[in-house]
Amino acid sequence: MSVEDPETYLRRFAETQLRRLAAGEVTAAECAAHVDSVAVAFEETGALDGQVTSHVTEHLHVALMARATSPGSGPMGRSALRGRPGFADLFARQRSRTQVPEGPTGEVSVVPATAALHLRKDDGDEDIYLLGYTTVPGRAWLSVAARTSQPLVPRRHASPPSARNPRALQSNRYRPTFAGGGIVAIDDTGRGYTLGFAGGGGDWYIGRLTLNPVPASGTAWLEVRCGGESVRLDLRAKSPAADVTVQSLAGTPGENYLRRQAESLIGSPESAEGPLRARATGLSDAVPALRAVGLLPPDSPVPGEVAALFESLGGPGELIAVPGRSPAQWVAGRDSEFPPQTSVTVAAGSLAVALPEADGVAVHLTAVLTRPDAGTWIFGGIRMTADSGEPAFWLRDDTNSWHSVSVRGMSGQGGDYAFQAAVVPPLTPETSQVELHVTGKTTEVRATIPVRWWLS
Amino acid sequence: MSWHKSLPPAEASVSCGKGTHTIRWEDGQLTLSDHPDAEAELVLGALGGDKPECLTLLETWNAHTADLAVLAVGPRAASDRTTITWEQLGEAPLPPSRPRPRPRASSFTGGQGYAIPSGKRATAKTVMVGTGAVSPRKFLAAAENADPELARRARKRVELLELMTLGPEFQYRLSGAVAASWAGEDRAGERAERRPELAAALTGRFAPVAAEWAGIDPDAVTVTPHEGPGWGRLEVTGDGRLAGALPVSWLAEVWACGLALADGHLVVSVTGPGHPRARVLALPAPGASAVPLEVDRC
Repeated sequence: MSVEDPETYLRRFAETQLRRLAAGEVTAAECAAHVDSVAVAFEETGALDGQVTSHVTEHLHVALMARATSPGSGPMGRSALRGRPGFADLFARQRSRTQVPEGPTGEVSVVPATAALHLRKDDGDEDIYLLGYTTVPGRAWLSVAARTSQPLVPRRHASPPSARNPRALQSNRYRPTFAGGGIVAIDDTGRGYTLGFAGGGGDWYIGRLTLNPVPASGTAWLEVRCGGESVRLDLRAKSPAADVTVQSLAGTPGENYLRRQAESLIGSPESAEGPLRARATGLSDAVPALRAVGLLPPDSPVPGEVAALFESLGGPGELIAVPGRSPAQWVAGRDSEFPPQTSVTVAAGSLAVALPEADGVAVHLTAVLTRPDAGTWIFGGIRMTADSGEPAFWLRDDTNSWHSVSVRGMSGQGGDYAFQAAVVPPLTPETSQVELHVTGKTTEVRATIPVRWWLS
Repeated sequence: MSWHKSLPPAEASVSCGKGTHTIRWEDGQLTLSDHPDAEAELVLGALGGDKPECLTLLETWNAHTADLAVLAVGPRAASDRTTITWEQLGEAPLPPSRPRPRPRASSFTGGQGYAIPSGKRATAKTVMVGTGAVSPRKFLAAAENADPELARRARKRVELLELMTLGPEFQYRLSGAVAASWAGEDRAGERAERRPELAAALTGRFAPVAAEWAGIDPDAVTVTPHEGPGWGRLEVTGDGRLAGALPVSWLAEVWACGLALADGHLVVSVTGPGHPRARVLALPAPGASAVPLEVDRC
């Protein structure tokens, strides 16, 4: 089978779409979206440089304008075609804005934290779980989950009052949390710190508390104080070593791209019918394109696996390929987002590990938290040193069951980001170790990590 | 290369200063009959004097006569109409030194009309379509606060769109000029580097012609640039696909001059350019040998 040059394929594909536009078979937005789908697939598989695809799509957009039709951004923007907007988009935006060509440097350090503050107040109780301590050059934060007994704050406006945002206290809509923004810390040298929260919440606040100033390296402990209570964190605590392996992905670039596309759907709140159809349409363009340029074997089962996943989510998988059978881990992660876990109370465990960089991405974890009302969350961070796309995360527990990991909140800058991710199905305190899989464009990092449950 | 001899002159009216001027294309050149000493006016403009809009248009035209982006943006077939109007283009905030002429109506001279590749006649007026057109002003507005590279790219977009507002007869002539500039023997090395763009330009324009000629699905047509002697090759496979190789000069000599189809034949090269009569080499059917033909467009 002859293999076509990717740029020639993309340009000819654009010609086909313009012909369809002239025939009234597609709109300008659809024309642009079809071409974008192939452009993104070629970029993400390394078949074409981003400059080449930009050149092609830019000319296409001018051609559409010359036909007095607004191309818009298509049913989905290019960023969405890559999967859910995430770290890579944030990194690209920030890098473009600051014109900083390099990613972050310096060491990432994670320390397990196993402490809780229980505040009992007239206007409601608070339980604050301090789950991990992370430092990157210029910043340090504590992973935190806090439960309040009388939630009043809307979920979508989740910033609680804090020292950095004292005006929140003036609003009746916000009930004081973190004891009204009075959470501070002091270290073993007597140096004081303010703690600013970033994250989301409702009944719970989940996110990070950033320390200001940044503690010096070698700091022995931090005493966190809030609402008259205090707890001490040992910053020299160690976690059991994780067993880490780095290996190249077995599939072809086209197969790995399709898998990443599929995995970005699992656990995604955007798995609604409209976006699913747009994603399936995009992949229906990408599959023949990847085959034509030799990046996807004609007999590959992956398009069928992806089609089956789309079907199971209620999307038009048949647009992509004849649906086959999805891998076991996809089946495990796709069903319910937060199956209720009435059998457990709050359980927290340490997962502190920093994994090596692969494909321009380095991941670190700090903790796991299982809540009876909302499943399991893991806390961690990611360092991006290149525009390398979104990694996919998976967990396999010690009973060989798969769990999807979907990032639900992230914050940070300059390539260092903290995240919280939902784990489906949830982990129970019986889990003694997990195998974390972080899959990038060409490489998979696996780490077998002991889980030390300190609250259950 | 005398490809342009197969095309009649064309004229368009554009606003310039307080008046309306005529721009004329003839023998492959754009001329400004209302600016007899255009060169001197250009020098004055370069020294900071006022530059008439007509001269800016001439500069823009000449700046893009070898620009492959013209083939990416311009028309592919009669059914593929570039409909943007000057009104839609808007008053883009180009720097003051680059005023642009405002095309009025285009007109034809020197013939009964301009035959575009399908054999249908071009209309003199452009059609304004839709209300949701994105004004190029947005591009330039965005570029104002950005880096020079972004501003350069934005300006190039606007210039391409400006040239498209001149109407189909000028679009085909400009496309022909671009193709001719890339067809020379001395540019074989550069053609090899830009092969994907040239292959797309050939395929995008040849596919509709093949569909009309032999009922071949245009999506099943692929054409690559032909190098070397001869007009190239065309092969129809058992599954109805048409794969071929044509010289880049085909775009200028044949397609841009409206000669792609003649008397049911597919024209593969022009042996005697001229208007209204031209001598060509043409295929009566897929798989047949090329035969000489005289085309008369009177």
